[in-house]
Amino acid sequence: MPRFSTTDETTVPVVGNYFQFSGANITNLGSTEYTLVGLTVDESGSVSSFKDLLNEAVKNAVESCRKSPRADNLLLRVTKFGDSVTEFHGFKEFKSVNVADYDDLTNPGGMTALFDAGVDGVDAIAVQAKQLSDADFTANAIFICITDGANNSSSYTASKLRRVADDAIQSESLESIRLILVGVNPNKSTELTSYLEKFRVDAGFDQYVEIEDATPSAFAKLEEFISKSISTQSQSLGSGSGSVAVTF
Amino acid sequence: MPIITDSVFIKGSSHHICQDYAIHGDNHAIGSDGCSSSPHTDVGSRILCNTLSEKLKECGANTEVLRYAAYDAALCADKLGLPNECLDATLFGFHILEGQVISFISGDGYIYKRFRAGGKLSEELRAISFEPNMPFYPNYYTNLRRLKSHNETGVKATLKVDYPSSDLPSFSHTWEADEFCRYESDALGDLELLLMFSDGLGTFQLDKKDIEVNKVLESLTNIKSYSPGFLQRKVINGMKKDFVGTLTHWDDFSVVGLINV
Repeated sequence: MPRFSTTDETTVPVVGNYFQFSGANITNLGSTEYTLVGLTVDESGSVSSFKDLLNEAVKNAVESCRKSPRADNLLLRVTKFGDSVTEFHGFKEFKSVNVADYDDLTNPGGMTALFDAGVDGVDAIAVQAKQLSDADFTANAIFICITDGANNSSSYTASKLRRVADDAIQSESLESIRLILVGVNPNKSTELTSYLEKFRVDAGFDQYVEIEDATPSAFAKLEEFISKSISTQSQSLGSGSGSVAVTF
Repeated sequence: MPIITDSVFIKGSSHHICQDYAIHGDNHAIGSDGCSSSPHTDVGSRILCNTLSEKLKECGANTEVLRYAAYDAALCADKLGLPNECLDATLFGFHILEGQVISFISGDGYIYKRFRAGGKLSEELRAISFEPNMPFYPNYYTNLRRLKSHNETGVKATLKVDYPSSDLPSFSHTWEADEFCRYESDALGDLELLLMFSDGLGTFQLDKKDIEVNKVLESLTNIKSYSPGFLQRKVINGMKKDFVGTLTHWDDFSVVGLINV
């Protein structure tokens, strides 16, 4: 079960199929359709060398989404994972997100619960989507997982993540879901690239992109990619199909 | 829980432009159904709704407010260089004022009310129609010749009242339809749900076969989430789930409403 770091009047505790999470308080939602955005960020010990760049990239991507014409139709949930999964904040409308909080998003240390982070993230999206659908909202989703290493601390497997994602689509609560895996690989390790490529296939991610330099320009590219991917997926809501891949 | 108002309008399958319009504010909601055979009523229905919204803020709902709104709308249309006939449109809606909900309708349409008093639920549906199909438009107040002409054509208005959740018999009343504007007042405390519809409510079809108004109403009043946008969600998403098949409505459709739970 993820540890909860924030709760407020905009979210309510929800029991998911595998974990608990903070769901959006549906009685506060005023739009007819939402794109559920799940973002999970690696905070294992190896992230410490580029922690500030990563925090800044996520913060700027969120800030960029706040200014998007689709901002009122986005619900964002952010988690981070080291030894286990921690919820940074539950599903919130972007207007309720305080971007300054993202300065302290990750506090690197420990191992990499990569698979659990995926299962938690996608399952929370699926359960939240069901709640929205039951209340006559329409929804699609995007899940972005940022990691710099291989899984070494999970209860679940990559194939479990694939099944959770397949179940989410088959439930018909989501119009579409897009899964994106981001590898941060400043050491240009071919083993890591191969591992994450295999994870992409096993878990059913739609797209894998890799950062090969831990530089401000590389992370600026990442923040643009995240915000564009979210925006594109949200714009596709109502079309009956998901968005096309944004070029990294 | 606060009172939540909402409104929605959708183009009918037989129309190229939606001539219905609807808006809502904190304490009111207004809908309008533009006449298909008059010019630019898509614009006229918008002018009427917005003009009436301003009038309600200015002087509240009273038995003259539709007439005042029609005068102002006529001035507005004239300034825009539009023919006066663009305002040939029904007007319906409500205004919440000092614990009362004053609902009004000029022209044809439907009024649905659900009351909950002492734990007991009751429903009422009023359908207002005109024979021949010449509803009274508030715009006639702005042109004495057209007002006189309408009053002399022998148009009959019929009010049919149903009680969907009870055994009470329905009844109807028909009368000469000159200057027809209906006003109703209900205590807000007992009123749980109020919905007011344009005549598009009666044009829904499932797989191209007509559906009874009561079936459509059953879906529309089954509100799943009592939060802002409740009507938009119901009409845009929820109704599709309530019916198996392709749901359409050939006429433009507008609805305004409030929930008070």
